[in-house]
Amino acid sequence: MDNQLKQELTKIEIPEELHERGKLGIQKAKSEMGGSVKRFVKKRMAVAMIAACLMVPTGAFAYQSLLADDLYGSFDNVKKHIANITMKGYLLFDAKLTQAKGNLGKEQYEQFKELLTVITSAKLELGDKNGNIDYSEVPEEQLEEIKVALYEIQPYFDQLNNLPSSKEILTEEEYEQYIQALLTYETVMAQTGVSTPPDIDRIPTDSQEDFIKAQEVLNYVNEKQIGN
Amino acid sequence: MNIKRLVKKAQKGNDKAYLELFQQYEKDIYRMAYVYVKNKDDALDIVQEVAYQSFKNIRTLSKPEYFKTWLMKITINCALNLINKNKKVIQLNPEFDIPTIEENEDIVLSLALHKLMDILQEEEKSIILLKYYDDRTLKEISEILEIPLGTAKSVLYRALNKLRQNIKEVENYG
Repeated sequence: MDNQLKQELTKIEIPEELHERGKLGIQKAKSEMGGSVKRFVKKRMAVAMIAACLMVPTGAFAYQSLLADDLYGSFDNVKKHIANITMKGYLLFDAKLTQAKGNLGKEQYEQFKELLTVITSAKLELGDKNGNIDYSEVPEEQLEEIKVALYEIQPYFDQLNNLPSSKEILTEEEYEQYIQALLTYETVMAQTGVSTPPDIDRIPTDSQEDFIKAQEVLNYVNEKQIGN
Repeated sequence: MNIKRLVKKAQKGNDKAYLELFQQYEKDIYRMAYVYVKNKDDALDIVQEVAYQSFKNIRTLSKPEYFKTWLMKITINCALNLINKNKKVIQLNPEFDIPTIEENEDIVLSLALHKLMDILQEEEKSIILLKYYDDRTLKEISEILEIPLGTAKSVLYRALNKLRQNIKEVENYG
């Protein structure tokens, strides 16, 4: 009986595609498993990324208020405009700036400071209590100015975050999209009135799609920066 | 590479290690599945599903030495699920059911195997396959199928009787 059954069963022909089908099943499982891990990392990276972007401009007030009180008024003045600025953010950015001063050449540092001034003034003038700007409300000329500054300053931020320059690893078109995505992200945060990236269901329905698209671009850049 | 190491690697998410492991059993899985569903396409679907489910849940396998047992259990469950699913499909005009190519494929199978697939119920097939194809003891079978040992025994004897009877019939008319 024993051998007989085994013999009988070997008469069942093995189709050529058997191997392929097993592989397909494993790949499907892998993509779903890998997916969950990747999503987790992506989410965390997006948060870290935004935190880094926020920290720099937020801290910028600290810097400006320390070194250029006569230009921007005191820290209290900044606090009046942007209620959620904290001493922690202030000190963190102070540390970042010290690092920047050390890492960047003198000329580079000067340029960095100049660009930061553009963003700082915009934040002071237009930002909400978290320092986020709703760029859809900004007059076109001013928007263009901020955009140019962001365009130039992002590689410095990357450098300060110890990441490869986004401007270098992305194509020109991708970099353009990246800056646009940063603007969209901040706009949605300003519109939602939050200081950290919100859950998708807290976002107004008509902004959801833009937000997701922006998030995808940021994730893509994150991955590229980490991957390199 | 031995099975334990491959299982451990697969549990860490290494799909290449898992593929290597799975390939050692894919023929057994296919043939077992075929006995239940009796056609190539469904049997292949089952193989794919077993590959998917097993890799997805490989982390839940606490004892790598039971990998094959575990895989066979998944195979049987997948086969039974597919059969149940197909049963739910209501045929509107069964009398117009046109013979399909699969039935022609079956002709190449030997008569005895055909009988085995046709006269045994699913539960009986599971036990016969595990006992004589996979060399499992009755105790192991009862654990794999999650049935009492007594039930496993009685189902096995019933299945064997059916097969013997069938062999006799063939002999009588042959």
